[in-house]
Amino acid sequence: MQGLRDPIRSYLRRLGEVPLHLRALLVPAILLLVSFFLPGMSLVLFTREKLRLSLFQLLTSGAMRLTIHEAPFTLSFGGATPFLVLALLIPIVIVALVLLYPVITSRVPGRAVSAATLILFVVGLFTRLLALSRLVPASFLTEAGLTSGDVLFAATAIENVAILLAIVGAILAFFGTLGIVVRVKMLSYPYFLWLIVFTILPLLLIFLAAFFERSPDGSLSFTLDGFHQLLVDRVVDTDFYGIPLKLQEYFSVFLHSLDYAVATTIGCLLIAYPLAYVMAARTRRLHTDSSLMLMFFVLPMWINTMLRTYAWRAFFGQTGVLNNLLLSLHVISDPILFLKLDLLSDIIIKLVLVNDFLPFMLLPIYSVLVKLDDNVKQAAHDLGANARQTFFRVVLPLSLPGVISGIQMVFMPSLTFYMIPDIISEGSVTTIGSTVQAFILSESGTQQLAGNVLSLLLLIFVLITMGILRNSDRESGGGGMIL
Amino acid sequence: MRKMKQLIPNIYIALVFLFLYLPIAVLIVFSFNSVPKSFIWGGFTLNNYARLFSGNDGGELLASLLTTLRVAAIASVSATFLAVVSCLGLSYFSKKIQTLVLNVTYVPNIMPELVTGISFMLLFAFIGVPKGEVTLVLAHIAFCVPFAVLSINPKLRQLDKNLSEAARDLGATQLQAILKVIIPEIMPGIVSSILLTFTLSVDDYLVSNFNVDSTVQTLPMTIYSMAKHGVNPKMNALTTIMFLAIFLLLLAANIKSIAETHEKKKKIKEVLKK
Repeated sequence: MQGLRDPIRSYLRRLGEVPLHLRALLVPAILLLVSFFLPGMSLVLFTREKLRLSLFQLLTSGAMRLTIHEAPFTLSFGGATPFLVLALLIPIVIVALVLLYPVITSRVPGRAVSAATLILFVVGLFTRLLALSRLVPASFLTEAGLTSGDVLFAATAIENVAILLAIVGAILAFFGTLGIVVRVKMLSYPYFLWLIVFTILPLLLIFLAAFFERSPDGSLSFTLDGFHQLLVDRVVDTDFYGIPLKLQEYFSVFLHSLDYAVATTIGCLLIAYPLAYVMAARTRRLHTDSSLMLMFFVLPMWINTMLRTYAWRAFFGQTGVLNNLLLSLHVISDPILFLKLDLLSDIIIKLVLVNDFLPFMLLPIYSVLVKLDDNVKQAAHDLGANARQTFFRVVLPLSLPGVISGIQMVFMPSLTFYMIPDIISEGSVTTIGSTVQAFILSESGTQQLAGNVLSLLLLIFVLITMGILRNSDRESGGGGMIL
Repeated sequence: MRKMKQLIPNIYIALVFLFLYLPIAVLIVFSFNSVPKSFIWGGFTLNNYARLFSGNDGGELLASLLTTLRVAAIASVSATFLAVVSCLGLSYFSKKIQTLVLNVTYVPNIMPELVTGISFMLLFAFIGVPKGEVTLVLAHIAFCVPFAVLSINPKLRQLDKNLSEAARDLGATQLQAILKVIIPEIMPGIVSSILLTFTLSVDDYLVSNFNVDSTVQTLPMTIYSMAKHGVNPKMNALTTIMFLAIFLLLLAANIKSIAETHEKKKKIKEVLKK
């Protein structure tokens, strides 16, 4: 026994010599191997019937009976067999190579083993993908009257993880083989690519999509049709705070959305500022952080907005809570149609918007006010300012940064948040958001173009507004410093 | 007089409180209503809970709830992982490049969500990925990343640079220094990033709506279409359950700070007595 234990011990000790990149490769290799036997693959046919099979089952069964359009078919996997065998063998070889690394390196240089493992790994990945692509031969598709779009191999989570890890492992092995030292700095390289693809490219596309359209043959051509569609000479009669107006259709829609956003912002500010002030004063007086109370004010934000909006409609609806209450108290004899009367429903929409966005205004103002030093107020008082002067000349200017970031967080989202007006008015109010949405998701190319133009204009409008707000933030910040 | 002075603020706090909780209270109360599809009180029942996930609409609710949770879990973890890895690397760059990269990162934050959703839709059309759950997950990761960076980067900046150097000096490898020293230090940022991005993803409607096909529905989408079609008591039951879950979660998260506050109060009282 003793004689056997020593070589094992020395082997285990030398296992520590296995370079990091090969150890890292071991994980995806084992995952690839394990997932070969797990019924993780699902073969989804257009019939929506899902067959869960493992690659191993595909390899051993060789063929499968299927019913398509009520006719029996036999799907043979013969063409994929060599690839499946390779896909099974290669991970085994990789695992073996890594485990035997201490033994092999006494004969061949370690870098050669690394290179061999890497090549095997890449080949293994490709054979696996090739095997999948050959499972359903083209002849079967024509025979069964299917197109390639009807057949889909969906891999479940473990497959995806294995393949993702395999790619990471391959990159690591590549670095290791070439002897490149991985620096921490390099960790952010993928992120640069991510930023280009998911931030810069979409922004560019928004600009381009407004001016270019794709013709059926796939070529792009410059067009201003989107603008023409928007600037269509259709004048609508509208009513703005009791003033009858004749406005171009989409300008009227924009004006009403702007009205909602401005009213929401002002409403939130009027309610949230005193609340933040009172809460901050309370916090300082009682020497406690009112995080619990703040939590209760933020809690409704976590309930889905649509659900709360729906609740408001239930509250004000024709057979809603408020009407039932008033009827049973004999205050009114007929239900009031709160949501059907233009003026009332307009007010209720704004009320719901304020209700929804209030926490976003409360938090930034509170966080500025609570940090406000009591001594500053005391100093103003000592210098002869009365309570009103102290508030308007000292407290308010100092809290402006909070107010401005609150406005930023309320104004912009409420401009495009079309779901609340839509649910409350039961679809009778059109906002800029719902217009863009209808345009973009329509079938007509010109309408989509118009939607792209409108979203570009919206983006520019919001960016300019934010720029102005940011500037005034800087100015007020400067003012605060002087004080 | 002093009492009166405190009464008015307290009444004000209570009124705003009422305003915020009125819709939720209505939904919770009427989730126990036995009269189907109406807001006229007819007696107590638990039927809406028992049949929450049965029937056509119930199945739809359950399917979209599962989709939403799955997407939110993948999106929050991936976005946070990406943010941690990139912020780690980014901290080794010069201030100028760091500021540039962070500014580009925060661009989506000042865009209206609607436009963000459309821009991702254009991107997927440009690359040629068909709409479906893949695009949904990608779009969610993409809009979560800025928020994840926003929660993690400040924590990393507060970190003492010497900390990882000390670990290296004590014989740790770079990887060990990151895994055993830096990651535990920024753990609060990681946790808050996952929580924030998870809730953002669960609540998102605008971005999702442009990046799915008709086979995939998220919970907000289902709720929106149900809310448009009139009264459905199942939604009341769902709200109640969600409210309770979130309430308990927040309470658990806050219990520590509440206990601390209590201690502080005690100490202050003791000091004042002396």
